[in-house]
Amino acid sequence: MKSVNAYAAALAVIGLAVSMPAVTNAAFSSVRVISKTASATLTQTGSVAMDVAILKTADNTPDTQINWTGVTLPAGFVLASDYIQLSSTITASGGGIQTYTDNTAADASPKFSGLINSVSATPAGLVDNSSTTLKLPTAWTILHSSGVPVAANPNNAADPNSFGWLYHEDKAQVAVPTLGASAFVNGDPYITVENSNGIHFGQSPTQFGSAASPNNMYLEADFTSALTPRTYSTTTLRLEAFTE
Amino acid sequence: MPRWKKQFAVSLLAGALGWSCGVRPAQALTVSPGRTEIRLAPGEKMKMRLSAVNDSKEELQVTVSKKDWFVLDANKAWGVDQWMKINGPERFTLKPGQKREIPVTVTCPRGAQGELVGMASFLYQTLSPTMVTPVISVSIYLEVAGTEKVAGEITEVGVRRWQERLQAAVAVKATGTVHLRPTGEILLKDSDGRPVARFPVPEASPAYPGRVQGYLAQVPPDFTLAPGRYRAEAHLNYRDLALSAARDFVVSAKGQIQMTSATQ
Repeated sequence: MKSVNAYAAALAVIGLAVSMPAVTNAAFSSVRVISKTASATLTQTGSVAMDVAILKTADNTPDTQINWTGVTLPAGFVLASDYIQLSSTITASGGGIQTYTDNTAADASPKFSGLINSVSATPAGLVDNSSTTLKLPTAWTILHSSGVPVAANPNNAADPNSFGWLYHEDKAQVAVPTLGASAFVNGDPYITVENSNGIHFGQSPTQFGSAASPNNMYLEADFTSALTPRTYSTTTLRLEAFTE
Repeated sequence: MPRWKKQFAVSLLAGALGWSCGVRPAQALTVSPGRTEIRLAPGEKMKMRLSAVNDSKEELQVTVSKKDWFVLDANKAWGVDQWMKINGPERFTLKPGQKREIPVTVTCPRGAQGELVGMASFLYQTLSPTMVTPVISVSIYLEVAGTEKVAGEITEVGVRRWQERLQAAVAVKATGTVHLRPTGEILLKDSDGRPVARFPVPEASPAYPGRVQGYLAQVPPDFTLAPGRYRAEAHLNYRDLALSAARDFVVSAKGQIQMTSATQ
């Protein structure tokens, strides 16, 4: 089943992304403290702002969506053909940017319909448009340098390219011990791309380091279980700026 | 065919053809305030407003929602739906330059302990559905007056080298019923007990009850230490809580740093 021609596979995977604004921006500012029995105060303590641009890895020109092109099955982890250029300014204490999929949300299309429990694969990643109980895992990494990362299994410690890759989590996921997946926790370092200490350059929860903006966020998908002809996609890859 | 479905189909076709439409004007949504802290007695209610401004040149569709951010074990019965109400429409459109005030009502539940922490989230996009959806979430803290316990401990003090720079950090665990957001300093002393450097520890992410949060001191990038034995002392404060701990370390002739004692 996995023996396919490259053209068919490319058509199946090229539809991974739907319309995507090339540039997005988010910002907020200020902190307010209110006590019912005291005066309300408003204190300016910094801000968080982000711009998101989609660029083609091949030539750094703008694109409208994140694609995986030319994937020939069988395949394992494959780097997307586009990357996200993330420009950010985080001066608010407790500010950060987290990323996850939300494949069971109201705006998810397709919407993941598989079981969500402690023994099943999480909803995170790209959902099979034909059989929405299935999905392909995805992972992300963020780099300050201009180099392009090498796709790798995040769990393969023997691969020196693996340490910077972190699996996407899904907002609805619960812990799946056999897969090493944790329950989704807002603000968890594992899903935090950037905070006031810098970019999350490694898998350790403490591996944040200062890096001047912009930084490049790359995605990879695990095609090990992919079928063809199929389309795998998500409409709910969230990039969430927050202040705690 | 609904408009968004038409756009979806067109987008899919565009993707299949490898077509790129180039850079669109930047979208921008600004939400303020970024953090709101409220202290209420059980049963009390307060009304507040959040504001959202579209600074972009495109019309934005905004979806407002709320979610729990941190839930104390004692407050499992008090989800965000029980204490935070975002009034007005769940979805609205903002034209370029348009501002909208979003009324929020916060009610302090009877029986809740410590504090409740939630987020008001603003998901926004243009008329076209997108694969990547930007979200802004601003925090709302509700402290339950009379039940708060501000307590914590320093679990680790550390000094290390990272990218050829000295890094000093302190980890704090909140052990009470409300979060801690400590500030202070890390003081370095030589083997004779003389201060050699003070690095401020600025406000950073909160340490929620039961959790450990790391705080980095602000060390000048060109700061170096001569080989020798040192002690790092962390002194932090949050509200009426004062926390202190220390740890010894050695700087080798090659500039390598090794911690030589447990945090005490």
